[in-house]
Amino acid sequence: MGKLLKADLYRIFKSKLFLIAALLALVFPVLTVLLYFGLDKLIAATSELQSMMNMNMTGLNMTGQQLLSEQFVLSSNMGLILPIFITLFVAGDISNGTLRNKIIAGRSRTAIYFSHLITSGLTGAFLMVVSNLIFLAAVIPVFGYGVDIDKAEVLKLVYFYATGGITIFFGASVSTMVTLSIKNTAPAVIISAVVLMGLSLIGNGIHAVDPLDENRLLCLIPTYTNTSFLAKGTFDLTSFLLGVVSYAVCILVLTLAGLIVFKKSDIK
Amino acid sequence: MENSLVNDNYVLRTVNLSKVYKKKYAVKDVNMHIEKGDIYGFVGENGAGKTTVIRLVTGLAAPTEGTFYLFGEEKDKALGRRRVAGIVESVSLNKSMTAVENLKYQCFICGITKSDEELREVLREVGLDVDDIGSKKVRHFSLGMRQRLGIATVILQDPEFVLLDEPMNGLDPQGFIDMRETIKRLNARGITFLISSHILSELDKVCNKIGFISKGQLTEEILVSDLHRAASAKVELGFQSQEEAKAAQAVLAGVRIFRAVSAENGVVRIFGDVDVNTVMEILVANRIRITSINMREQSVEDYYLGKVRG
Repeated sequence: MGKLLKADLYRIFKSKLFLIAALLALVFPVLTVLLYFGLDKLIAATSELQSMMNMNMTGLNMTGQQLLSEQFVLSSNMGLILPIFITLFVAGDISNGTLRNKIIAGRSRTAIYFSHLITSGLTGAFLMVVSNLIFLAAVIPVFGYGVDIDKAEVLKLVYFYATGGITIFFGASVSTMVTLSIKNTAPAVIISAVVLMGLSLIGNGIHAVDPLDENRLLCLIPTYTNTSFLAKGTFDLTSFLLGVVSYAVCILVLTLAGLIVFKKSDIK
Repeated sequence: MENSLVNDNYVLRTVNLSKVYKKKYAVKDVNMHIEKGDIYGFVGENGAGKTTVIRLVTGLAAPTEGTFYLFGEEKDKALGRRRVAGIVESVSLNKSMTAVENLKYQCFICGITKSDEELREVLREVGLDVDDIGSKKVRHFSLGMRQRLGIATVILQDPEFVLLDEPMNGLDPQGFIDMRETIKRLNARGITFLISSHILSELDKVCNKIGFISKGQLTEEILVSDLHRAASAKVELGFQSQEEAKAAQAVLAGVRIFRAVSAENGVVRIFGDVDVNTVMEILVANRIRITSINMREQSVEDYYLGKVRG
């Protein structure tokens, strides 16, 4: 499978699609920091907004730590881009016919499936890390981090990125399953985006109904916004582990289902 | 079930290979035999089942019934052996990559290492002007150039058996000649070919064996030398009506002396070396009257049409 991974990574880095996704990953965080910077200046210049801020009515807290978790909410925008990107990447293999080349060359369908999943997940995680590192690099000089960075805070950051990473893999498992099962680009893009958006909506719905118990409930539903909710709260190992296990089970189930369908289907 | 080691020399042997799509047989009981060193032409009208058979033996689709042996090994074991390469339906290339990048990508898929110079050599071998195509993306290639690049991705893998589905599609006359020469050159190196096409005259020039497929069934496998002999003469018998022609066809076909007998518009055509006296004796014995008799030369296409239209 290593050879297939090499092939898929080669394909991804040679594609315009990756270039566009990488550009978005670079531009998004810079634009976000600029947006917050402008907003901060506006607040400073407007007495009404300042008093609203003082009364904590805006929900905004201009610190690096807080904005980082907001970035993950924003990365739900990136999160919507990623399934589209992954679906187009996987579907490209089908529409170009290069999927046929892999099968004729004697590669097993299991290896092909996992290679797509891993390549998509790794690329998505790479884009997420790049996006967030750029955001941190831009936001801290402007706003400061906002809290003392101690061992617990570092652990929380690790937890934050780990759940973010596994969420990206969850997205990749949805997109890979949908694309390799129906083998049609446009419906695959729509279905992947709808599934992930639907899960986000459910998560947001639960959060709206019961914000106090958000950690335990939300960590069971894999969505990008969860990472943000979880990061804002206090570090909770149980929620973290529950989230990771729940995401991993979802990935496993989706991958098994997708693999069964893919192995049984004829390739056009 | 036949023993898998009946003939070690078979590169591909299918045994009652069948595929059902939507409760209808796309191919049924195909028993194909391709020996080492063959250039096997697979001929049939559009929709006859050529591509389906190729898709089955390359692992793109699973047979509903029957099985096949590649190099003596049964399908599941054989498909992982990586001795086979091919182009099925259309050339599969990454259109946003250059020719060399496409070859590199194929190298990664197959787990082989080749230098850029070696890749350029492969491109030259299939008649692509390396200096001309340079950094040009494949999406800007003509159909003929894509076909050539497709062949390059195949020979890059040093396969023992190559399956080409309609490789002449989209080629200009020079492209036809080049493709033929490339196939012959590679065959001389020991590569066995299965080439599907509906253009019999092209296969006739390059293949040593032909398999005719019609309505999902392999109707005949014949050496090209035998095909030429069989197609060298034709007798046309005229009848009062199509009914009489059909009756004559049934009688003559039943005798099994003749390779193929067709009946159309009140005319019965018999292919191959035909003894006219024998024909007359059979018809007289069956009290069937003819209105005319003609001997004429025919092409291999006529023979093929005779087989298909029966």
